[in-house]
Amino acid sequence: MPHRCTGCNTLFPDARYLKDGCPVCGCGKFIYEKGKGRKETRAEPDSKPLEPETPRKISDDKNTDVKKEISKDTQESDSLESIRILEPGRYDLNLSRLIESDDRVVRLGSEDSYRLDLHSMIRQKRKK
Amino acid sequence: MGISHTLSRILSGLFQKKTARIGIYGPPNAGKTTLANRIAGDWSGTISGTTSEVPHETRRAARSGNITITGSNGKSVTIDIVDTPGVTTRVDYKEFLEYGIEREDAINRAREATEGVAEAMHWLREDIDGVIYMIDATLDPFAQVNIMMIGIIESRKLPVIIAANKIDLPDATPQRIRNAFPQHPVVPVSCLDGTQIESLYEEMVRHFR
Repeated sequence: MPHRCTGCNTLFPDARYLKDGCPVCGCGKFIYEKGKGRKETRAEPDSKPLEPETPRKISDDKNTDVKKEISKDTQESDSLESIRILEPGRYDLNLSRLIESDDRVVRLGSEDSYRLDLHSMIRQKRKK
Repeated sequence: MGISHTLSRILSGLFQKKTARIGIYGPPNAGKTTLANRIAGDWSGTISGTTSEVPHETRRAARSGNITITGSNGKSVTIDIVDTPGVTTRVDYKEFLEYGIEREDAINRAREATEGVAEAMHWLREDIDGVIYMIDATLDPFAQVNIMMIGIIESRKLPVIIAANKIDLPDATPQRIRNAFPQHPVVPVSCLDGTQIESLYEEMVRHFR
């Protein structure tokens, strides 16, 4: 699952540094990068940090709003999902995310696949 | 109607006794429902929920309302007790198979337990004024879930009493819990046989008023 450090913009092919922080600059905040770094992860099992890329302006991205949301989430807690379904009947629960809101972001297994419970998110907004 | 209605609301606000909503939190099998039943039984004569040795027996929050607890000094506190599902960072249906539950039922139970944890966290965020955090005194208090939950409760600035439960068991060491969380009142107690339950009531009156 590729993640980009928000401090130095280094792209890592997996989430191994989420807990301890970026080995390049020490920053503890990462953005999940959909569809990036997967190839590198498979090619290099040792997964050295990739070369830092030139920082891009957020406005250059097509999915600006999505990236903003992801960035906001990662600033509040280190992982995106509130519940991870490992297999039917086996769940990992992210208590820090669950206490923040009723929004349900569910990660399925080890895949980079997420499900958003839109109903929970609408209910939250109505309450506000 | 407008003036009388407003006056009525002000008067009821002045004279109505505020009820604090107290959540009983903790990992599965810490004795939360046993405590909720004991409090409700001692002070209102009702029973809150069913207990079991199987983890995650309580999978929906249960509320016992308007319970007045009086301390030895005559002061009292009126509370709603919310018995919450056991909080954990992992739910695994295989855990239930050991208790003779069929695989399909175990998977359903795991799903309900997961929803229960989410519900417990919702209550903590939205509706709880104070917390009794239950820890099994025979187990290591430095479990990840205890550290996380105490941290979350502290960050929300909620008053908390830690109940070091199961002191009726020979290997209970409530002092370990005191050492682990010196910043909070820790009351050794057996919710099962009622040992030192009065101390917990005294602390509740002092802490949740």
